[in-house]
Amino acid sequence: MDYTTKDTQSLMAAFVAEVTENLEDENVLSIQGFGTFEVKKKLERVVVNPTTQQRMLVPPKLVINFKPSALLKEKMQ
Amino acid sequence: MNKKVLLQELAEGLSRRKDVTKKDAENFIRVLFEVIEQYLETDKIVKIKGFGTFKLVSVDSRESINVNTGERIRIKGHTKISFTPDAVLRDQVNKPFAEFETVVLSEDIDLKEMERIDMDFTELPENELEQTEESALNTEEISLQVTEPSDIPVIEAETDEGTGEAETENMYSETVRAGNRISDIPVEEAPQQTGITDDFMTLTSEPDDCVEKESDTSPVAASEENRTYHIENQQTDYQKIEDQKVTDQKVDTQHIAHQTVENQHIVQEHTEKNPTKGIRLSCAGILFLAFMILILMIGSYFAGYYQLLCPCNFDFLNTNKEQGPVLQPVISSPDSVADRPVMDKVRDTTDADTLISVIEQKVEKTVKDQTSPKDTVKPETAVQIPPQKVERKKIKPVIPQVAKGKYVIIGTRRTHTVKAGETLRSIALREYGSKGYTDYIVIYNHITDPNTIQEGMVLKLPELQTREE
Repeated sequence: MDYTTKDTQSLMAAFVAEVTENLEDENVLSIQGFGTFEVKKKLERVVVNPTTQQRMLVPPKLVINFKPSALLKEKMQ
Repeated sequence: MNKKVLLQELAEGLSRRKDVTKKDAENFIRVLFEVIEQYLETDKIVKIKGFGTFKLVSVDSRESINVNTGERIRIKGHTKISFTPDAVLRDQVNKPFAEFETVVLSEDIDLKEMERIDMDFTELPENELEQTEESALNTEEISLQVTEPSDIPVIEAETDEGTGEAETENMYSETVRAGNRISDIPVEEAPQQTGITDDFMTLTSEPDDCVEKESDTSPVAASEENRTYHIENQQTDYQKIEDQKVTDQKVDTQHIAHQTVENQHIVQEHTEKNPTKGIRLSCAGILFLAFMILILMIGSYFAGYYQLLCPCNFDFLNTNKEQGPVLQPVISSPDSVADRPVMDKVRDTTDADTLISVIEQKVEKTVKDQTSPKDTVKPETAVQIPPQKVERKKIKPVIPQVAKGKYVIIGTRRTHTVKAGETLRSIALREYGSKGYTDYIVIYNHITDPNTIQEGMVLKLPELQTREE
């Protein structure tokens, strides 16, 4: 199937949007032979600036975590 | 939510967005990842705008332990695949926590403690310091708000993870104080963080609990300033706050914030009450202790003069070589310092008769003193008294005794003539079996200088009896 660059670009955008939407819903995206995309919650923590020795409070957050599949890892060796 | 989404589902969604068939979408996604794979292998890095960056990270081999067996294992060098999402994607995903910012902590505040406090107010925090610091921050925030006339409650998420603290200047209008650490508290954050409470409220159920629990207690905010916690202050403040509360428009948020502030203050109140009580107790205890010590000191000071006050052992203080060991007269009549020369006389003479005469004199003197102010109508009885007294005293001649000695001298055992080369101690040793008995010999013989005795001196060796008391 031949797509022009323009089409590909728009498709890409759509794809990203789709993925974003899914991740927002905290779904686990699994691509066979590639890996999984997951949303994980990080708790807040107290950090210390080593130079100023100032204590800071990092708030909690949600992060995206990618776990490559074994197949992919093997390929990359 | 937590659904496992496969490629097909992604394709479905994609086809919905774009005017493509589901099959085409599926194909597209498959090819896409294949391309990523291919270029990742060759270029080691694949960047997709709006999505993220795939990177290959090479890791050297390292020594490690097999977790199951515990034996040492060598992990071979290998290549890791990392994915870093793009900023857009990252923010989109983090939307629930979007308003949060990392803030500077001025003091050490235990987060767990804070959560616990919000939940249960009757609990005392383990570390008082934390609470005092937290409330100190509160007071400073309060002083900041005093000048602003607006009614908007300022929510500060700095010190409190679970619930936002809201203070209104109305509450603290009486307490204007220059805060020392105002610089630490960014006031600019206030408008940004109004949204936080909402989010926070949804995430944590604490404020609701707080409101229900603390509806009865009165706020201690203003009284906290002086940290003395007089009940009168609390109540008056509460009244004022109550009046102002009614006039406020945003009662709900205020109320909630009010409660949370109360919570912290009350907790601090608990912590502070106990220390003050304890301090008061210890002060009283210290004072009492000091007083007791003082009394003991005074007592011990006078203890030394006890002998002086008591008529019996007047010689205790006068340790003069000439006098020798202490005399302990058996007479029970009042003895005064003036009578000392009389007693010296007694010491010099061992004759019982002279003793009696001395006693007579003494008695007469005392009787004279007593009878002189009386009427002369009773001369007979006065005359009669001395002879009676003398009769009574006649019974016992005075035998000098060793003060606090184990033995009582009851008489003479035998006489002994001092030979050349003899000492009192050697005589005592021979007679009684120990040199410690020297004192008895010295005292019984009225020896003034025990170090110099003459050859040929006649000593009366006393008969001793164990003192029974």
